[in-house]
Amino acid sequence: MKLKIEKALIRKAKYDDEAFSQVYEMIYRDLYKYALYMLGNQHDAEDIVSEVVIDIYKGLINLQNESAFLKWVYTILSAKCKRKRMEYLNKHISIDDEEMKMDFPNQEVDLDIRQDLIKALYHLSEDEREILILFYINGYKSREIEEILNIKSSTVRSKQKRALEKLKNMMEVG
Amino acid sequence: MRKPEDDLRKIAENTDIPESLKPENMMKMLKNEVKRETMQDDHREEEHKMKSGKNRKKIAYTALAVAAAAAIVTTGVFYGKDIFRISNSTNITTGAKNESYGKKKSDLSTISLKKYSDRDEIVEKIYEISKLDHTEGGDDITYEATKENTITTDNVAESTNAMDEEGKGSGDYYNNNDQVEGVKEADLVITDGKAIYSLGESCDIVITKVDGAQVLQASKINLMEDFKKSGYIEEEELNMFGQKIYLHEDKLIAVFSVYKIIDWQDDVMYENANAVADIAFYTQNDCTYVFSYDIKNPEKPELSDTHKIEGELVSSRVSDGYVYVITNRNLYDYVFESNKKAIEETCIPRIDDKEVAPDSIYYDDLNAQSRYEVVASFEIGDKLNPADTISTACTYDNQTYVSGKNIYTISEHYNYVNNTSNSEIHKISYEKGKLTFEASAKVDGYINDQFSLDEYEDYLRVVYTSGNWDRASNELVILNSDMEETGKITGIADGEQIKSARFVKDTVYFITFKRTDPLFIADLSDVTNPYIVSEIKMPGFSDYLHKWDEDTLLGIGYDATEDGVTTGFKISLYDVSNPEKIDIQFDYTSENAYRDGDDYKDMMIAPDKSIIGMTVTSYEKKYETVDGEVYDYIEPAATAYHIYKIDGQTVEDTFSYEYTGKNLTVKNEEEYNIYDIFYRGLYVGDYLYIVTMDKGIAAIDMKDYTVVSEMDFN
Repeated sequence: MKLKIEKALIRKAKYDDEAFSQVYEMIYRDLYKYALYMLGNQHDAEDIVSEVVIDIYKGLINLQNESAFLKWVYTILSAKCKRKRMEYLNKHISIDDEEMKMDFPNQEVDLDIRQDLIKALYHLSEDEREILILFYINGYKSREIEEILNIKSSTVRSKQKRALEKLKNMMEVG
Repeated sequence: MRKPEDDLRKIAENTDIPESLKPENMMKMLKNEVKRETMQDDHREEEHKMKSGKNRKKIAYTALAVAAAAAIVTTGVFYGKDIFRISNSTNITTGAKNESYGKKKSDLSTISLKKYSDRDEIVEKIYEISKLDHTEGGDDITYEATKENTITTDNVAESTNAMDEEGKGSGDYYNNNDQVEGVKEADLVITDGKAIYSLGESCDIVITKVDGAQVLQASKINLMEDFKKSGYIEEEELNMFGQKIYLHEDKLIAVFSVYKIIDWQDDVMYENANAVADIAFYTQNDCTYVFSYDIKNPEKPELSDTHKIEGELVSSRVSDGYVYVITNRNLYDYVFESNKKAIEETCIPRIDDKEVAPDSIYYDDLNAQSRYEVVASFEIGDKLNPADTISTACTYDNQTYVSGKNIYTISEHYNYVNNTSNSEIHKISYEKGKLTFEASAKVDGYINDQFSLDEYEDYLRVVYTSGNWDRASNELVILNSDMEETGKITGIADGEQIKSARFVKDTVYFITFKRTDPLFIADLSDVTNPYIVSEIKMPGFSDYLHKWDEDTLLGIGYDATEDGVTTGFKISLYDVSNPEKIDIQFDYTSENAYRDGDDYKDMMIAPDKSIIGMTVTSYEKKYETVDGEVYDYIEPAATAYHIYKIDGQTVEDTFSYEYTGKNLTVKNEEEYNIYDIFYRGLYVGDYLYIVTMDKGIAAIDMKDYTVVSEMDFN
């Protein structure tokens, strides 16, 4: 299990800012990375994460089932990302566009490979990209992904397998 | 060869997070610009309705900040100063015999289960399932009751009452308030009158000898260490969950699940998936264990036996000298999809690595969304002797209710398309370890908790909520010993959900809630004609009900405004001496204070001593002025264990205790440790013992509520 957020902590976070801050600390990097790699745009990712956190801060008190916290957060996050993606499509923004600043601050990976990887990532379907992000970029375990995405483990594993294979193929072909 | 997954990981590590999202900045922004909502109901736009997965309780929230009723009264509640009042805003309506409630017979209840004849049949069936294209989300499960190949169920034997007839040792000590007398439920803190056994998050079982004012740590069982030494799993990075204990004669039984923290190595996973040897790598995970310790000598507990059952721990019970464990397990390990050989190896649940008999497996519709529920019994003796086992088809959402004679496993099926649930109930009779599948039924809704079911004179009564959020409605059904419906009430409290229930022989008390809290009493003496006797509305709701004495029903829960905004916690005494006219006897409320823990066993309910105890956190209202604007928020002021005296007429906050020993972790800027305090209380004779979980124990003289000794755990 990558993330264990105690139910008691979530409950306290409903009323108490210190607890909320602690919960936030545990998840904010993942939220940002998810948004960033789903959308490919830093600015939009930052905006979206802020929006999501505001929603959670305001609405946490209404969450009756604390164990579903992570899933709730990701539901909001992915919905906002999807909506943003629709905007891009409507404006005909694509990865190859000049306007699409794929500005990933990353020095460790070879430039060529990184570009290939990012490009390939964006040629996957939303679902496939999402699963790879949750697995490899956010590092969640399959059990958590089952919960977050609300799908059974068989689906998680087959999706992840297919997505990775597709990615590999795309990168080989170039 | 470069692996894209490694590159992905690298990219992730090196992603910079914008400054504005860093916690300090984010919290500043939130405090300044965002007003927290207070709890309200869903009368507003449901912009986001969440389809829940594992736990199908309905959750709704809104992103719009409708101006909160702001009913948080500025009382400045400080620790120790509680406010109680007699509720005077009640709105009592008593219904006559319920003409207004529906009585329609339901369209579905009894379903029949098939049994496999042999192993090959199971393998074939499951192999077929594995080839199905698993679609995400929309589990539009159509549920079919099959009548063919039904097993002739044994007549429900007039078995001797399996209630525990062993004298519970003539000691005057707290007996842990189980739902059904004689059917022990697992717990975290137990006493046998001579010692107190406590198990915390740390996975250590501390054994403390108690004798009046004297407390002395006798020993400590390091459960995780013992597990690692047992050799079941080689890995070091393990997680234990669900751990709880029982005491039975001179044995301490621990039941828990363990899983490995697996790092997803794709190559291992897929390249080796065909190697049978690696099947072990996966099937070792998600197992449940039962460990039995000999505690004749509390100073030297000895591990005497261990067993392993595949599947995650769902629940357990101890009754008639046996421990019954229920787990939830995959049909097969999904990584092996379409690999027939591997599926063959993993498709039958195993106990101690031996497959259960194929004819102990029952199903009605094993499909892509199914799992196994495995029930296994063990005799508690010098060793734990495996007695019997039964497995049924189920989903991932399980609950359990166990009466003196039957184990009822409940499996919730959620329909994503129209956001509704139905719950399948399997009845398995038990007697001296022997398990017999009896019958099944399906109710058209979801079940709140174990208190929503009760068996009385061979009839099973169930209250549940059907429909979804706005279209919710509540029903009560009575099923006979064959799980066939005999009577029903429908259409109760439309738009509300059941929050708590308690059956007492022929009567049931239950509470629904949306904005106000109707408490209903129904008469169940005629199984063909149950009816609502009366109801009473008041603010807030109880999420736990307890028949305190002849005339009094105790309710513990939340206080709220008329609009459903919770303001603190509440202990209610309902006068139920006259079922046709329920009255509020007394309300104790504590504003800006909340009970910690959501397990009913976290509370000590002791009518014999006229007290209840629980961990309560009280909050302080704080104000901050920013740019001329005043903002308010609440901050925890203290977490303490409180004792409330209840004499049938009033509730009084009598005593509270806070741990201050050496194991208290220091709170500083970087560490938030104020949330790791949790208390459990129990009594032996005239002494109350409060365990600060994983930290220490205190002895309190109940004659005058003075702390007479304290001890830190080592």
